Amino acid sequence: MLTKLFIVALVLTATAGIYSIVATRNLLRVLIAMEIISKAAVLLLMLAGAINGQMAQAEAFAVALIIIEAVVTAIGAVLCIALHAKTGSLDIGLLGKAAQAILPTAAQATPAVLPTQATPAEEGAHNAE
Amino acid sequence: MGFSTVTIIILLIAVVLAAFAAVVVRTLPAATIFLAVTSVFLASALYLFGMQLAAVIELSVSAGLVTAILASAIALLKPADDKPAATEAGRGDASSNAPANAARNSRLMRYLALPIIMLALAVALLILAPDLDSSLIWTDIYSFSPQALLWGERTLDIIALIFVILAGVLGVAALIRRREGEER
Amino acid sequence: MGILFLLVPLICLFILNLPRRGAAAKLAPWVLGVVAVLQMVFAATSHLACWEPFIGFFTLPVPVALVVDPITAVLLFTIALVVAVVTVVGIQGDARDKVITSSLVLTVMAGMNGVVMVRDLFTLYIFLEITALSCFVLIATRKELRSLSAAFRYFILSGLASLAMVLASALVFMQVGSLDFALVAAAINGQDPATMTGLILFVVAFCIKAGAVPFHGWLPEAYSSSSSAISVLLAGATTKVAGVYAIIRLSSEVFAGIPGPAQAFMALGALSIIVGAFAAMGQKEMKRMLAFSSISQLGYIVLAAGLAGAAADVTVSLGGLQTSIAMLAIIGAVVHFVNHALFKSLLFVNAAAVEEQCGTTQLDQLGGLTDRMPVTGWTSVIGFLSTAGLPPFSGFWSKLLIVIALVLANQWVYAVIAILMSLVTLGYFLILQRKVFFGELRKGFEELKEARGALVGTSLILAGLTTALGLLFPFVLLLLQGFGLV
Repeated sequence: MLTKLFIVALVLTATAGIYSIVATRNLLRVLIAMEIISKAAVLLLMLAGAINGQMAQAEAFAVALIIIEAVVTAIGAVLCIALHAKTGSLDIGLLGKAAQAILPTAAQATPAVLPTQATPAEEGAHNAE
Repeated sequence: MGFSTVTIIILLIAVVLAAFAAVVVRTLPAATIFLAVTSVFLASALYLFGMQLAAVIELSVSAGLVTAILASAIALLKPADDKPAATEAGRGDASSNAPANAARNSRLMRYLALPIIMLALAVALLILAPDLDSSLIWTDIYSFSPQALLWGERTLDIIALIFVILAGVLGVAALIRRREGEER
Repeated sequence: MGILFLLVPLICLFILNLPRRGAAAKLAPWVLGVVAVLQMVFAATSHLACWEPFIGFFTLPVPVALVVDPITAVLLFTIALVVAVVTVVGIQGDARDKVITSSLVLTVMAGMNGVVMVRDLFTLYIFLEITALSCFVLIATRKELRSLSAAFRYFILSGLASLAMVLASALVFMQVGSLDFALVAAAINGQDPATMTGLILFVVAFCIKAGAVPFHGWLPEAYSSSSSAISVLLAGATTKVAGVYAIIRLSSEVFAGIPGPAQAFMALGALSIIVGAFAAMGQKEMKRMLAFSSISQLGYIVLAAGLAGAAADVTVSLGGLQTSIAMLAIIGAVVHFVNHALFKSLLFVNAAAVEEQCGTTQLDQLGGLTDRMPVTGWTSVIGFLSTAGLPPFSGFWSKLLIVIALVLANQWVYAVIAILMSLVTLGYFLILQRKVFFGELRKGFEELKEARGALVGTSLILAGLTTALGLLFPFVLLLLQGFGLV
C-alpha cells in the first residue's frame, strides 16, 4: 500500500510542477515549479532506496540533489532579477519567439513591457498572473 | 522498525496538497510560503523514513535557504511597483475592478485543468500501480549511514559539490553587480 | 591521476582570485592559458608510463573514482584546446568582469573534465550541473536583454533536463541497486516499465543538453547572443561534453544492446542533421547560421553513438584492420567530436574577427571581406570545407568512418542521409562564403583591416590542425591499431 501511495504522491507532485511550468506567465513561478519537481525526485529516490535496500546511497543522492537545486534556484533568481532590472517585467514573453514554441502560454503573453507601461507589468510581476 | 505508516501517508498527502497550493495560489509571496510548507512536510517524511541527514538538509536548505532566496528576489522586485499600484487602486473602482475580475477568471480557467488531471492520475495509479509486499522492503531503515558513504566511498561527490557551490557563488557575484549598476 | 584535472583548475581559480582586481584581470588570460596548456600536456601523456612513480603522490587517502581511458584522454585534450582558443579570443569586460568570467571558465572546465572522467551516473549528474550552472552565467555575461533571455531559456530547458536525468537515474537505481556504469550495464535489461520510463527520460534529458532536434530551442540564441569567446566555448566544448559525450558513453557502454535508446538516438541524430542543415540555409546572421550548423554536426555524433549502441558486436575486416561496427562508430563519433571542436572554433573565431572589424554579423550587410581580411576569409574556407566533410580535411575522415559503420550495419537510410546532408552543408556554406567573404567589397569597408594578431594566429593554427589531422589521419588509424582498439 505504501509503495502505491508513494508512486501516487510523486506523480501528482511532478504533475503539479510540470503543469505550472506550462501554464504560468511569470518567470519566478517557473523557478518554484522546478523546485516542486525536484521534491518529486526526492520522493522517487526515497522509494528507490527503500525498494532496493541501498538507503544510504539514495540518501546521499537526495542530499546532493537538494543542495544542487538550491544553487540552481539561486542563479535562476538572480537571472530573474537581472531581467527585471532591464525590462521592468517578469513576463514569459521576455524569452522571445522560440520560447513560445516550447511554452504554450508565452504565445498569448505580452512581450517585454517598456518602463512607461510599468504599472500593469509591476502588478503582474509580484502578483504572478 | 520505528516509523508509523499512517503518519507517513498523511505527510505524503500533505506534500501533494501543499505543492498544489503553491502552484495555484494567486500571489508570489503566498506561492513561496506554500513551497516552504511543502519542504517542511517532505523533511518530516524523510525523517520518519530514517533519512535524518536528508531531512535536516531539506529543512535548512529548501525550506530555509531557497525560501529566503525567493523572498529576497520578490522583495527586490517590489519597491518599483508599490507606489504606482496604490495610486491606481485609489483612482476609482470601476476602472480597476473590471481588469482584476477578468484576470481572476482567466486564471481560474487556466488552472481548472490541474486538479482534474491530478485526481484522474491518482485514481488511475491507485488501480494500476504495482505494489510491493511490505515485508520485503522497509527493513533496517536505521542501520545505514550516508555520512560514512559520502565521506568514505564517495569523496568525489563531495569534491564535486564544492565545485557546485563555487560556481554558484561566482555566478551570483557575476550577475548581481550588474543589477546594482542598472539601478544606479 | 584523474584528480589532477580537477585540482589544477581549482588551484588556479584560487590563484586568480587572490591578487587585487586590476592585477588579477591582467593575470587572467595567462592563468587560463597555463591551465589549458598543462591539461593538454597531461592528457596527451596520460597513458605513458612516466606517470607511474607519481601515482602514489596523487592518490588521496580516500578513493576517488576518476578514470582516464583513451576516449577520456582525447576529450580532455580537446577541452583544453578549446579553452586555449577561448583565452586567445579574449574575455571582454572591465577588470571585475574579466576576473569573474575567467573564474567561471575555470569552473566550467573543471566540470567538463569531471564529466568525461566519471564512471557513475550520480557523480555524472553533479558534474553536469557544475557545467550547466557556469554556462547559465557565462551566456548572460554580455548582460544585454538578448543574452539574459537566451541564458534564461537555456536555464529552463537545462533545468528540466537535469530533473529528468535525476528521475531517470532514480528509476534505474531502483532496478539495479547501483549507479556505477559497469554495474548498470551488466544488470539492466530494459524490460520492466519503470526502467523503460527511465531510459526514455535519459534520452530526452541528454538530447535537450546536446541541442538535438526537437529539443534544440535554446541553442541558436545562446550561441549567437553570447560574446565571441563564450560562443567558442559553448560550441567547441560545453554543449558537446554536457550532452553529446554523455550520449556516447551511455549509448555505447551503459545501455549497449538495449534497442530502445539506441534507435531513438539514431533517429533524433538523423533528424538533427537534416533540420540543422536546412535551417542553417535560411539564416541571415552569421553566428545563428553557425549555431544551426552545430546542431547538424552534433547530429552526426549522436547518430554514430546510437549506432554504437544498436550494432551487434560484429567484427569486420577492412583492409587489414580487425574491428567491430560499434568500435568504428565510437571512433567516428569521437573523431568527429574533436573535428567539430577544431572547425567550429575556427569558424567562430572568424565570426569574432568579422564582428570586431565590421561591427556586424548580419549577412546582408557584409560582402567581399577577403579582399581586406585574407586570413580570415581563407581560413574560413578551410573551416567550412572540413565541416562539409571534404578531403583532405579532417572532417572527411570522421564522416567517412560514420558512413562506413552505417553501411556495414545495413543502415542504408541513415547512410544516405549522412551523405546527402553533407552536400546541403556545402550548400549553405557556399552561401555564407559568397555573401560574406567573396564577391564585391561592400561600400564603407574600404578602410577595413585584418583582425588582430591573436585572432589571426588562432585561425591559422586551427586551420593548420584540421588540415594536418586530415592529411595524417591514416597514421592516426595506425596509432589506434597500436593501442589495440582497431
